[in-house]
Amino acid sequence: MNKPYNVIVTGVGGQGISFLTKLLSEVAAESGIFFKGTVFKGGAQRMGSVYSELRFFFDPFDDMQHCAQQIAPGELDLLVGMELWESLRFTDYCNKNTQLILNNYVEPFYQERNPGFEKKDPTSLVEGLPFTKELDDFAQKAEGAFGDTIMANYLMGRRALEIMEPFSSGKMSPQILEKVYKRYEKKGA
Amino acid sequence: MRIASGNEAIAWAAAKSGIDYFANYPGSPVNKVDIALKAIDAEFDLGIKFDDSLNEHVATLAAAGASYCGAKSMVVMKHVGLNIASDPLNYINYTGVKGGMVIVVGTDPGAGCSTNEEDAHWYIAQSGLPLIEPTSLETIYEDTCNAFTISVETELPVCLFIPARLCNSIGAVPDDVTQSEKREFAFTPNRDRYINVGARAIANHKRLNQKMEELSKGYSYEATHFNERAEVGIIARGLTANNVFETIKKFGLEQSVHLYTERLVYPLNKDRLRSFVQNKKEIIFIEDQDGFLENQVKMQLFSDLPRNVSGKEHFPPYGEIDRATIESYFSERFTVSTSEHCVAPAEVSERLGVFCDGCPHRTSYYAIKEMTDNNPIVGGDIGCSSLPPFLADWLMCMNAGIGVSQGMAKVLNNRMVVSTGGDGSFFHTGLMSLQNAIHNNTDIVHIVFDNQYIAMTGHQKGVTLFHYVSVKKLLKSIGVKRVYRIDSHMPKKIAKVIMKEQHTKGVKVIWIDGVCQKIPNPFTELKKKAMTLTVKNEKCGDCRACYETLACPAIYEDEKGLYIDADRCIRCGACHIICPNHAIGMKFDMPFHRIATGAAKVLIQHLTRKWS
Repeated sequence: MNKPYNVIVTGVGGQGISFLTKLLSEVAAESGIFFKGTVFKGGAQRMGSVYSELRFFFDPFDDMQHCAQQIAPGELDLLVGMELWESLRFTDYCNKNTQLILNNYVEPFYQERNPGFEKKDPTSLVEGLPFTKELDDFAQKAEGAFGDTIMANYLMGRRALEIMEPFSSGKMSPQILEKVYKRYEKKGA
Repeated sequence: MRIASGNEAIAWAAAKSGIDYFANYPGSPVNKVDIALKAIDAEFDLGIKFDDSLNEHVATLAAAGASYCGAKSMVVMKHVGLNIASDPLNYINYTGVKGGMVIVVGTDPGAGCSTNEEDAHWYIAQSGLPLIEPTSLETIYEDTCNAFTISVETELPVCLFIPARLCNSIGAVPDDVTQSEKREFAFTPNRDRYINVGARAIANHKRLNQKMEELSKGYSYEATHFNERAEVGIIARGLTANNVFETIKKFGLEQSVHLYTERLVYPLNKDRLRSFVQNKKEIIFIEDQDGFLENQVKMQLFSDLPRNVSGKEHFPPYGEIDRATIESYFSERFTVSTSEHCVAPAEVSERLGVFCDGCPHRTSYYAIKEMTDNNPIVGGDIGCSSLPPFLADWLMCMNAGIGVSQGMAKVLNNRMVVSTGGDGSFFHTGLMSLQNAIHNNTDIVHIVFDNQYIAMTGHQKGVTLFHYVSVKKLLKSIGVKRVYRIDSHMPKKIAKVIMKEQHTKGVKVIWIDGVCQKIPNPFTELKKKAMTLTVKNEKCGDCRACYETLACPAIYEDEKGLYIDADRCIRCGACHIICPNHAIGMKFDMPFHRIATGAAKVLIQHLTRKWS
């Protein structure tokens, strides 16, 4: 069985998870790669947990629409985390080969304002994870590159495409990437 | 092809099928179908008639009405909406339709975007209407088209159930549409069909059963996979079917099992199912929720099934049946190993709902909970006002605020009950509930949070946005004793009115105006330019009312004190108003005459705006 390439993008409402997911999806679609994705927003408008699952099928199974919509625990190839607590929710989806691209942003829970809520630091927990990870301030990078922190999701998407093995190993034409990048830079996050 | 969500796939398929009429009451996870279809209609000039229905009952009846005249119609609602629509559902099954009618229901196993995860399938068995359940984004598109085809051919409404995970899925779908020829629609009276009473109702019931029997023989969207000689047969439906398929492949069980998947879940094609089960020694059902398919197959093919049949013994009737659950079952049943996890799941607190920055409900709730002095019981309602889950004392169905509160108000003598609800709920069924309170001489204070939008489900425009209803006149005319309209950012006034009215007789309504701050607002933009709010930490008494109780996300804390994030703050001034120590200062950055001129311009723009 040829495994699909599995990606989870996670963060909180307002960070542009849908935008980032669409960016990755469009690159796949333009390149003729079959994919399945799901974006979970829950009930929150802002500040709630949001995540998406994306599966890229390079060598489809003998069908049933190529296969499952869901990623199973342990099957994740890449975790793109725009917020640290939200990234930690998916550690059981990772395996020893999973790569992590993480934005060092921490969104409060707002419950920590209530007396009795145990405050913890997610950064040290993330740093202790036994995976290949890249922890960076993508908001600051976006501010530098585009003058707006909101483009952090776009930069993380670009970085994801650089390291996603099936995309980076020559299956993706630079022209397609440039075309999609231009479209998304225009759209903004 | 276009990148589309599950919601958009429904819309594209409807456009391809030549839809003429669309009605819906927005509810997650199918809240974006109307937005997508309106965009397609505008792009291709399809001339679809839209009904932004105020509840699912009227939406279903309106879609039926259009179809009676020969139009192809669709009605969309979430699973709990089907509770509201179940009344018409049990009539339009008898009358049938003429031009085709598809009822799309977004289900929510796992309650990811709902207040319950009820299994809507039982409405199908009760009403006896056809049900199709897609298994992927691609089959959402295909099955929406199939549903229209079946409906036109059988003259029955056809239901399409799509779980939240698929509604929110993303993939590529065809983006071509069908330009309907300009058809003239007409209603032909037909007493036998449309007047359901006595013998006619029985005749129509019989006709429905006959049609469903024919349908079960003529249609099936079943597929079989893997080893047809295997002794173990697995039957799956919906999203679960793909999960089962992949698990079988992943574990290399292709020779051990034979898999049957069916998208036309009701009525079942008995012949094909019979042929699948006939040589099996064991049948396992894998499906989410209550086990509707298992129940139907057991009922209809009882004598054909082997002795060893199981399903809900292994898979819970609640939550999603995810891949981990299926893998765990297969691993035990077929003795294969599951994936080994490197790291245990981290313990991360659940993010409970919070009000957005500048949300008008925050101040209103602060007034109700913190500024009234007798700790009222608060009846909650569906909508954004219920986001922080523990502000109200209950959260149930639409208008449970005003409904439950009425009973309490009659029997509780010493506790104040304040019922709440949004403007969407009010015009959904709240108006009738309020009338009920008046009709029964209930002494109650009811609060309506009017943010002018169905904000939680995509900002569909609410009734009050259009200014054609005089709320005060409406409420007075139905017998409300006293009506107050108060701005949401005046918590002291809200609290004062609640306290004043708590012991008075009759129904009193406080209508709180506060437009959703997620909608670009020129007043807010002006205020942001004109003023700044800052915490004067030297005056702060550390009561933490602004930070912990009002819990405005624009206020943050470090070791030196509290601060206001000027980018997030919308200058509502609530923190300034509630601070008992006058430690939150308001500084004007613009001369007053410029603020006044700016405000006047915005007001003129607002009043002269053309509402579509």
